[in-house]
Amino acid sequence: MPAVYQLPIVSNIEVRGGAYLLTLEAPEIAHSCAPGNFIQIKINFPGNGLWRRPFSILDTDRNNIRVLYKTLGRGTAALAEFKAGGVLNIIGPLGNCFSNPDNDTTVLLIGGGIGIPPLYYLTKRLTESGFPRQSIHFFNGASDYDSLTYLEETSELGINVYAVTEDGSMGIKGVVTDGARQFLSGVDNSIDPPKKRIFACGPAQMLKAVSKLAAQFNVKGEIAMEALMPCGFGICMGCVIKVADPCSSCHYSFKRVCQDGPIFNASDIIWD
Amino acid sequence: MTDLSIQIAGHKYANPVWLASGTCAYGRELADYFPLSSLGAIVTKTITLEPRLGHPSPRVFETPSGMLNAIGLQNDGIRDFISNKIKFLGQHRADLIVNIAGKSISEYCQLCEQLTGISDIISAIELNMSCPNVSNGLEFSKNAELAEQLVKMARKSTHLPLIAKLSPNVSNIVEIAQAVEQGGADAISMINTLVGMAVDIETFKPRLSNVTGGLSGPAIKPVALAMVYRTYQQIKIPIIGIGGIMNYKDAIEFMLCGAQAVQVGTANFVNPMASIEILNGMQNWLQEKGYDSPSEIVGKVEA
Ligand SMILES: Cc1cc2nc3c(=O)[nH]c(=O)nc-3n(C[C@H](O)[C@H](O)[C@H](O)COP(=O)(O)OP(=O)(O)OC[C@H]3O[C@@H](n4cnc5c(N)ncnc54)[C@H](O)[C@@H]3O)c2cc1C
Ligand SMILES: Cc1cc2nc3c(=O)[nH]c(=O)nc-3n(C[C@H](O)[C@H](O)[C@H](O)COP(=O)(O)O)c2cc1C
Ligand code: FES
Repeated sequence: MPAVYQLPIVSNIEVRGGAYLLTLEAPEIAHSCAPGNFIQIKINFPGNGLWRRPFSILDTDRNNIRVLYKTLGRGTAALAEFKAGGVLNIIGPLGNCFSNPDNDTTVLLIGGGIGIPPLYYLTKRLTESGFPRQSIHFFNGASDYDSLTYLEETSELGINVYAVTEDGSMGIKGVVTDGARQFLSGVDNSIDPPKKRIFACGPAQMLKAVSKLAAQFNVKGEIAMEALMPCGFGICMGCVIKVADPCSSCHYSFKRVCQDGPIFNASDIIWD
Repeated sequence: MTDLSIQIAGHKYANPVWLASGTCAYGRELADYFPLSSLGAIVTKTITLEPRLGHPSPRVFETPSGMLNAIGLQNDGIRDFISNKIKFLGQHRADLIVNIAGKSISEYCQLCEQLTGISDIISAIELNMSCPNVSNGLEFSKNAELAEQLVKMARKSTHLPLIAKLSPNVSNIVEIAQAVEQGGADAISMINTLVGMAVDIETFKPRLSNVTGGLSGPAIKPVALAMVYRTYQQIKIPIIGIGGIMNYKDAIEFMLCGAQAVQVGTANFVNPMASIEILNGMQNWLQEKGYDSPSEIVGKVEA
């Protein structure tokens, strides 16, 4: 059950790819959260902004949770200024989580930009629970080598990691879905029938391309969506996306990313 | 200890801190954070006769000390409310106020009649006469004659207490307040959001799919206070103050200007415990100042 907490900052350091790694002492959340869940952080910043800012949980240990973030605007810039020993007011854990694939599934994780954290967490949980590492394929996309986030850490999990850069400065040249498409095209679908799953997180355009890819290759996909979130726990109806809904008279309805998501079936989302 | 209970339209509420419509959904989510029955009342998100999908995203935008919203009254309709949502609220013994909106006077009346059928679990009906986010939404609260007519007809459709929720987007809110009092409203709640807009200068696109939306939060508090103050001078029925209340001091300000009770809105988004903290802060403040009841400070601003 989510709650409001005052959490001590264990550390808040800059890491590769212009990202920051924030560690918070949060035993209650660490024990109850799952991959896909997020937290809402109250950050006071210039300009009198009211809303909290949502961040996915990157991973946990016994007492701590970690968040990986990039400085995008006012709130994240102010967050980067916080030091170990400080305190942050947060709400969590929030949202739903990814479902668990069966052990004989080939798993594709497709992440771009700030979309790596929930996928890293899912991968870590899978490997810890004995899921075969060779069946996990993680596609990490960015504009160039310097912007790739959490690449080495992901490789350390002992899975197949593919860097995809738009300028070709590392790994496959192209957008991250190009990498995943090459992989899916190379798998012999007759010997290795549909037991495949895609999990994705990143900018909306990328997720739209992932949904197409999943449909094209007939693979079930789960994607973590983003939205502006005034509350983050389902009371404002501000964060909605359009999803297919057979119960509605016009066959779609607006669902809350924060409460009904952030994880949705790729095939349910209606991209306008 | 100060007794926080208040009477409005013959109904006793445990205290004057309520949750505002559209900022607490139907209570289910906030019940994870505190017992709903601790509050004076919870006002549901606006309910309409037929389900409404609402506007597409983007529906919200953060502004200095506030936010814009254009949700578009997304709700599953009155039938779903009565058969599915009411049960949970009933179990939580929270005083329940149902906020309704119609496209016509007849729709408001039908809604009132249906709610009368479950009047054992409802404390009052709040008439949203002022939602700026649906076409025609402003009409009932802009025109004094129409406003009076609406309340009069709603009055005939139910014995439940009626609270008329007013829009600030009018040239003279006192005139509308007098009209709904004349029409038979038991209380007035004010204010709803102020019409506002924001534009992305990179794309030239409005920040909201609906182009304009309603401004809420601390940015509107001074406007709301002035309106409550002016209205209090001119009417006899109780006023429930709304607009940018973030802490107990804001709530006390509203009461000094003439509000018997307050509704907490946008503050719930930032802090799900906001209403409880406001309630505790108010209790302590009244206690320290030696007041026996919150009604002792209503309208006591020395202007
Ligand atoms: C469920 C969820 C999980 C997230 N997880 C992470 C994470 O693990 N790491 C991370 O770095 N970021 C994450 N984000 C995005 C993060 O919340 C935004 O980067 C942050 O809110 C920006 O705040 P700001 O004050 O710095 O930007 P602002 O000054 O508010 O805005 C600057 C720019 O950022 C854009 N922006 C604002 N809010 C968001 C948002 N919620 N999503 C996308 N763009 C936004 C604005 O449109 C604007 O262009 C997540 C978002 C959601 C909804
Ligand atoms: C996201 C959002 C949704 C709202 N929905 C409704 C609604 O459905 N019906 C209604 O009468 N008022 C609605 N309101 C208005 C609030 O009840 C309140 O009058 C207004 O927000 C001012 O109070 P605040 O500044 O404390 O938020 C909504 C406000 C917000 C911010
Ligand atoms: S952010 Fe408020 S309902 Fe999702």
